[in-house]
Amino acid sequence: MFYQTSLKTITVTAVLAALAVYAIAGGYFPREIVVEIAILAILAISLDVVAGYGGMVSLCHGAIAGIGAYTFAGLTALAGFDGFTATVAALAISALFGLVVGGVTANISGIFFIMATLAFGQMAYVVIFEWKALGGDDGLSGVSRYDLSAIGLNLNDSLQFALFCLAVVVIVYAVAAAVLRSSFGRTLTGIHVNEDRMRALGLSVWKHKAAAFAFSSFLAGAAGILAAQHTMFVSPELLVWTVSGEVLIVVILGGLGTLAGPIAGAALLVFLKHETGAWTEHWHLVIGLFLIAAVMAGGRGVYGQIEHSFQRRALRTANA
Amino acid sequence: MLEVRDLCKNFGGLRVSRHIGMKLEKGERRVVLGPNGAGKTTLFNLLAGTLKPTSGEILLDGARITGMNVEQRARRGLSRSYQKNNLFEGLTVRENLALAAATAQGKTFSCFTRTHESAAVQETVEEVAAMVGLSDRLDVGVAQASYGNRRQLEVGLALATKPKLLLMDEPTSGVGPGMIDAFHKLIATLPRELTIVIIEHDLDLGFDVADRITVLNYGEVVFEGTPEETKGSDVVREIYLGDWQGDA
Amino acid sequence: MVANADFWLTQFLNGMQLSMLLFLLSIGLTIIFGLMHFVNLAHGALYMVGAYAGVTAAASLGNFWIALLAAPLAVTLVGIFLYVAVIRRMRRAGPMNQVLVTFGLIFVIVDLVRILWGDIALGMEQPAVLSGPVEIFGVVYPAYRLFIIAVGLVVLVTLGLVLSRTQIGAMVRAGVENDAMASCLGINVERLFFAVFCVGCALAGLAGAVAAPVFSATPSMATDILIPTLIVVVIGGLGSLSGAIVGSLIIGFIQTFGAVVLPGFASVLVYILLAAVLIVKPSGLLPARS
Repeated sequence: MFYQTSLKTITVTAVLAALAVYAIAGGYFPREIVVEIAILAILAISLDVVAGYGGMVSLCHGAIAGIGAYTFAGLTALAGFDGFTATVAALAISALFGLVVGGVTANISGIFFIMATLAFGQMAYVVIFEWKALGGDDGLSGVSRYDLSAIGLNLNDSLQFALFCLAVVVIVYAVAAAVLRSSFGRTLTGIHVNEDRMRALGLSVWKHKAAAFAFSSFLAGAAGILAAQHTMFVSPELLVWTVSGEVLIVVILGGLGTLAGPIAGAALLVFLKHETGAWTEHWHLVIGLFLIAAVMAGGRGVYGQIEHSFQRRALRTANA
Repeated sequence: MLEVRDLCKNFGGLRVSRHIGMKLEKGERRVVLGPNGAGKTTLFNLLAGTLKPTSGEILLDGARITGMNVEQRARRGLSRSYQKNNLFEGLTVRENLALAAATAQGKTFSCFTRTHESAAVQETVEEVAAMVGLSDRLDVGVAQASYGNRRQLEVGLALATKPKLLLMDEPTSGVGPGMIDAFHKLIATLPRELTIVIIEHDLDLGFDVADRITVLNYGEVVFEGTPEETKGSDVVREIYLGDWQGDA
Repeated sequence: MVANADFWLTQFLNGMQLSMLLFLLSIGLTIIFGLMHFVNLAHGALYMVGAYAGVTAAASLGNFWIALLAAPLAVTLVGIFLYVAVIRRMRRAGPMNQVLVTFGLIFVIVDLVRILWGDIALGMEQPAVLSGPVEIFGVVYPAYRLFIIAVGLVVLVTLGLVLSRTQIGAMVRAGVENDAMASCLGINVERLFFAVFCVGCALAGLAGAVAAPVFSATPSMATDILIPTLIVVVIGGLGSLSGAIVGSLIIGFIQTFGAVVLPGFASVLVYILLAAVLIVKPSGLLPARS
């Protein structure tokens, strides 16, 4: 069951505040890292909602973000729509894709479910790759950031954009937390814990799974929109299955089913990537070993392990 | 209230349920007896919708539910407790009951309300907990609860949906004598409008609680009658009861 | 579009060639998947190691045929190390954890290969006897590619005979069907799994070495071949030889003919087929366990 505990609040606040300070105090490059972390965190939160709380491990969330990115990029750079309309459309289309995938795969479980999501993600990748108007292999450039001059913000400034992305992380986390706390979120947890019993209690399970996947995809689309604006360029590489794999790794490294963990995991992975990348170009090796060790040691993730220890201590003092 | 007509279930060449017929009045307490392998749980699976019959019909309140799936039958008031505990592990007793109550109330899509913590749901939770004897265990985690408590919760989940028809599959399975008494009292205090079908091996409990008894053997109904008639039946004595006389 | 018979025959042979390569990879993966319930995403990485081992062996020993023996051996050794260090412990860890761990293994193995051999594609000489063109059914086709098809067919027939006519084959089929029961019947299932895993690795290594002269050894081999192999395993059906060959033929031919007839659409078609099978019949077309 999801409860917004003080540990979660402290962790989220601490990590985001630290990142904000890092962006403010650092120069251009730290800000780029902060944006990268923010986008990955949003994507990881969206995946944790369905995988950690819904039990649906997806390998297509990278592709969903890619769909959001391309919809936004296509509508603004090619079709000339304004940022707001393009955002609404991108979020809607991402959610729709998720609704279809979630609905169609509702009765599949285990490795087959993971592979089915992989199949859909790859389908999206191929469609976008082959869509000549969207630039194909070369991608699509000319994406511009939101024009927030009306409220005095200039997102073309690297610091303002970095802080803007961190603000979006806060919003996404808050929305996800609220939904998980609501009726729908509790129902989703019920499905995760005992799907058969939920059915026996009268629940139309597939509809709720589809809706959960749609909500998660809505959030993933947001990550895609920010990604498109960050580099002001989109390429089909966003949708390759290995990207989805990396999002799953982030969730696991932070803590599956904790909602706060993914944010920590995103920071951890990006910093690990950049730090090891500084002294060797074989940072994949390091990440790979780290991942294997983390999973074989129990797979709770950094934040997940901390939360678990706190909970066990609380249980011990309660029973004492 | 519940009518079963010529219900058959075959698994390939194996005929597990053979021409089962039953008719229950509203509020009736029907006990299903029979040796192991007689097809009692299979009957429950067919009634609940977990298994599709090879042939035959099931009617609930006059409506044909044979083609309906599990959740559709549940929404029509059919509820079930399982022989092997089928709980929401990792959650507390309260959270378990709240899930059952809130799901039955249908408010499962709302992202803006916290139905599971609402007064209406919590009222049902406390009511059901009192019925099954878990009032002082509400905030205990299922993993920390005793087997007897888990069995009580198992029935509690089925009751929390405020059903019209309750199927109880060996509720006292594996439970100590003290708890058997508790279940005995529980069944006696259940609302009279609730129709109940119970699979039981504890004969004292079964005969005491039953209005009518159906006896299954090798997938078919070999006897149906009142407890007295059942005790007097040679067929039933031969296949199941033996010399059991009960508290005469 | 060329409509003459020669073109289609050539494409048919190309399809066969791709199918045979996919078969060599998928048969190992499907038996491991069906028998051990273990999803090994690193199987493609083993194929890559086979290619590099083949290249190195051929270059240092100067003999293609010895390289063809050395590569499967090398990959089997790597596989044994992975089995003991990681896979054996993760067998009952659930699909998500297996995906994560083997995904991590892909990272590790690919980077190790890049460290040892660099990033550029490494070619391998075809053996002289196979390097010329051959005329077959009226078309001129590279002899080496026919060799690839032949290797695949030989492995198919050999495995078919082993699985259906030998004791160990019967044990494997029993283990795939019901490993708990097979264990109760006295079959040392753990040792069987290990043996099967080794054979799977050897076949992946063989596939890599055989493919190297045509495709060159590159680090991207590990992930390029993985998805098609997984698709073959799922569509064909877990744990069965017939499933592996049928799946390989289907995917091999869709990809080959698709690339010439309907380029963009062919790739999507494969994924649509995969999704359809998963939704309608997740166990695949010809599963070992019905």
